[in-house]
Amino acid sequence: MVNLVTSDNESFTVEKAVASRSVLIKNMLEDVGESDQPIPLPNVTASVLKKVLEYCDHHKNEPMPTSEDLAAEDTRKRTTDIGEWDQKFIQVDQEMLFEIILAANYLDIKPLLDVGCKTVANMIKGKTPEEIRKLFNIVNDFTPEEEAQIKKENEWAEDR
Amino acid sequence: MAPLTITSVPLEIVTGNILLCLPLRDLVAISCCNKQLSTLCNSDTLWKRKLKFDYDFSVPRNRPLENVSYKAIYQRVCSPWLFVWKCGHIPFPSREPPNFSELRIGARMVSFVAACSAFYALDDKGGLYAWGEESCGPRRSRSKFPFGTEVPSVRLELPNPIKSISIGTSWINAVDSLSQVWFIPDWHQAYRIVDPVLERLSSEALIAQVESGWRFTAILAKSGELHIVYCRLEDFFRRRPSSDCSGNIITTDISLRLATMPPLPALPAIKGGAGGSEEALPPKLVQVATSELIIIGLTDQGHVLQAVMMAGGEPTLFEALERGKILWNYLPFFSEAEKVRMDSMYTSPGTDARTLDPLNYNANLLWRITRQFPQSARARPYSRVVPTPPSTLKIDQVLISGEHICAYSSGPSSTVLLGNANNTDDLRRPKVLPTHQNYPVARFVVTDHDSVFLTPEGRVMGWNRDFGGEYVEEPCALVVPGSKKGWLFLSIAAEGCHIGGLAIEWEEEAVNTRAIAQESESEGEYEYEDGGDEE
Repeated sequence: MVNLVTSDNESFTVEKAVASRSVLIKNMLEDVGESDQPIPLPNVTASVLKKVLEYCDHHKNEPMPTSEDLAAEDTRKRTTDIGEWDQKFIQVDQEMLFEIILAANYLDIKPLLDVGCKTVANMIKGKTPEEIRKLFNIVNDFTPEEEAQIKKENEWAEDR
Repeated sequence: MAPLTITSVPLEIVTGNILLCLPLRDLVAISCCNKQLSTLCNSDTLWKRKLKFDYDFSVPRNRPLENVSYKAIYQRVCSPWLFVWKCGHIPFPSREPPNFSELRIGARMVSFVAACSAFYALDDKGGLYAWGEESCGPRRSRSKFPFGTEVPSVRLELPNPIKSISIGTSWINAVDSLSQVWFIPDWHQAYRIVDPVLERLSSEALIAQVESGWRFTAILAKSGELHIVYCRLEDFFRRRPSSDCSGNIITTDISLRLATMPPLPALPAIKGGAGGSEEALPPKLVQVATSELIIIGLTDQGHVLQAVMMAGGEPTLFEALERGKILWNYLPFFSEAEKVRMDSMYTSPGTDARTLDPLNYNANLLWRITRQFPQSARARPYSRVVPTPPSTLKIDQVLISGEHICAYSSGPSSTVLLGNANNTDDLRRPKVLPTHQNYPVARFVVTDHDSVFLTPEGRVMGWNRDFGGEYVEEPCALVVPGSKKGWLFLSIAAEGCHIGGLAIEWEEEAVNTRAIAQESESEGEYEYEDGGDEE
């Protein structure tokens, strides 16, 4: 078993197979060897880690992505399809979605990072700039002329 | 603390994991949101990766472009030009039609295929277009591509977007987005091939390649299993709608029986050809090329094999397969470096290279031309160049064009092996032309009168046989007549008497092009006949 301590000082004890879905933790465990020392995760809060561990537990028996899979990463990223379980798992509020993305990036869990980012991409698809601003709380710092200019420059891409 | 949003995510994640997945129209929308996102959406990092992901395109190391953004390069790559040259004009690229044409469709072409009297292209939405003449009939009396200033295109409307096409001498095969296989005997009718085995392959997206032969269609599964469909063309012509002027293609289902080719024989390990792990697995077919009655197969480990089909149609084929009369024959001299090195071209320095050219058809004519035009460098007798033999070999492409069978290894120093489909001796011992060896080759094609290759840097080089039927020693670059720009070719295709290239504008000024053009002018004082009309 592995003991993980979050930024808000909560402690989680999980199977090694679950914790090792994180390449960061897996490498730490390999470096340190057999040890009862808790592993501090100063960038992750308890609420987010709980969610991340739920993902790791569900996928614990799957083979880890090999270097070949990572090389084929490009193909994987082309589609924005997400598996059924992952889709339900990622149905969270926007704050948690971005927390999961940040944690997956920090903990180096590529498949989870992918699920999070594909979800964001799917949220953007088909929306107008105004709808995207509203969705992500983005302040428009363009003048109407500047925005029109960008649209004009990108006319070639509009029908794609 | 401000709530987390897309701009809270590290920039490399936004670029590499979110923006990269987005279709262009959504990318435009998000770039209009604010200045930070606009900068990200226009970054070279993003467009460089998009070029690789969307088009498998990287800027060649030897041809960098200064002051051109990757976004601008992407724009060029997704809107390429299609040029067509009449073969026999490589050293003297003609400036005027009828030897050169630019083909347009008003849509973004992503791939194209050459047929003996036509070109076919697919756009980015799976639309199928054609130029030229729809049926070329038997090869002996074939028609040629109608070169001209404006060659009109024809759109062939099929129910689903098309992913790939293959053109035989008599029909077209297409694979659509549902992995269904279509048989298209002419530009008016298309038949969806229905068969239980094919239904399974289609539903599980297990089709690796569909190749149109002269009398049959070969369907290669991802497992390496090869299926053959015999098509009785006369049945389709009988059904052909008499006067369909609407331009709409009539589609219907047709039940055709699939015959399965026998498994591959035991094959030797190819030294230096495949990687360590690959060699442990049994070889499987990954590519096929077909002609009238021959199938050339290529394995993932570089074995080249041949199977000879039976003339006489479907019943004969099924009977021959059931009785084990059709088998794969391994062609070691097309596959193994040790065997290729045994070729007389490498081993006997005294050999006259001219006798090695299987395409040499008239040595006496060469002598006459040399006397008549002593100033012509193109008519000079062939001088002997013996290239370095390959130390290792992995054939990764096979093709049949007309009667030429070609197997080659792509890469920085290519080995090109040629055989004649009508001559079984040629298949046992292919020709290793000295002029063809050791060039950097991404793709190699053969026409009736030329050999042409695409380099990894996107240049198209070729040898045009001169009056004597020889290749000149050094390949010449194909140029775009009337253009001073440098062009980068994305792909090439050839068949019969013409060569096509999908190209994008590259350098502002092409130094090489000008040099070649000047050379052409000074050397081309006499009228250069089309080599294609000599046979």
